[in-house]
Amino acid sequence: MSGTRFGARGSLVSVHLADWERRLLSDMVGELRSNLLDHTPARDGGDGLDPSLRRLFPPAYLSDPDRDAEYQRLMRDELLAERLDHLDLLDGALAADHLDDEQITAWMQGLNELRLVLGTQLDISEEDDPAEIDPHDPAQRPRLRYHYLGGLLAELIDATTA
Amino acid sequence: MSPTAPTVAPRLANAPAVADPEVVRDPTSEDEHSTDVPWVVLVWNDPINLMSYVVYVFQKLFGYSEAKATELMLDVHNKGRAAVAWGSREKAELDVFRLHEYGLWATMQKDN
Repeated sequence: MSGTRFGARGSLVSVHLADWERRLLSDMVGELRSNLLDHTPARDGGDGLDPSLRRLFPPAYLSDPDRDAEYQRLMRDELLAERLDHLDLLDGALAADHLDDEQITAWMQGLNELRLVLGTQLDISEEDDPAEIDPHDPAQRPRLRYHYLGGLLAELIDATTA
Repeated sequence: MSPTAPTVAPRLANAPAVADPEVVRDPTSEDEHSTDVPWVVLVWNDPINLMSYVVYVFQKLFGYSEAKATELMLDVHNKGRAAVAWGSREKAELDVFRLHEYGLWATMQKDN
C-alpha cells in the first residue's frame, strides 16, 4: 500500500480510501463498539473485563491496588464514554473527503484502539512480519487487518505532521 | 516498541509505600509547581503502539519538540519505560487519563 491515502491540505487532511476500505473500517468500528458496550463492566477495578479489552482500560497505579480501584471507579465510565465518542466520530467521518482536527484525533485514537484489541487477541509481537502472511488463508485475516490498520495509522500520522 | 513491558513491570512493586499527600498537606499548596509533592507519569513499552504514534502523542499532549518526544519514545522502547510528566497527583491523574485515551500504557507513582 503506498502512502497516498491521506494528504496534507492546510489544517485539514484529505482522505483517499477505496470503498472496500471504508466498509472494512465501518465493520471493525461497529464490532468494537458492540464489544465495548457488552463487555466493559463499569467501575469494577478490572475484574471481569473482556481480556481483549484490557489494553483499552489499563491500570493507573501499578503498585497500589486500593488507589487503582478508586481511580477505575472514578474514571472508567468516562474513558468508555470517550472511546465510544471517538469511534462514533470516526464512523461518522468514514465517507468524508477531508478531516478536521477533531476528526483526525478521533481517527487516530479509533484506528489505534482497533489495533490494540486485535494485537491483544493475536498476542502480537513487535517482530511480526506481514510479509509472512498468506493473504488467501482466512485464518490470517485478523493479522492482515492488524497490519493494514498499522499502515493506515502511519500514513495518517505522516500526513498530519507533514 | 518491543514486547518487554511485562518483564520490567514488577520493578514498580518495589516502590516504597508513601503517605497520601492529601491527608498530610494543605491541599491549597498542592499545585503542579510544588516540588515536595512530586508525582511522575510513566509510559511503558508495548509491542503494539507505533513509534511514530508515540512521538505524535507526546508532542500533542505535552508540547514536547519532535526531538524531545523522539528521545522519550526511544527511552520507552530501549529501557522499557520513560518518565514523561510530573506534577500534583491531580495533574498526573489527568495526564494518565489522556495517555490512556490515546491507548498508551501509562501509570503514575510518587517520584522518589
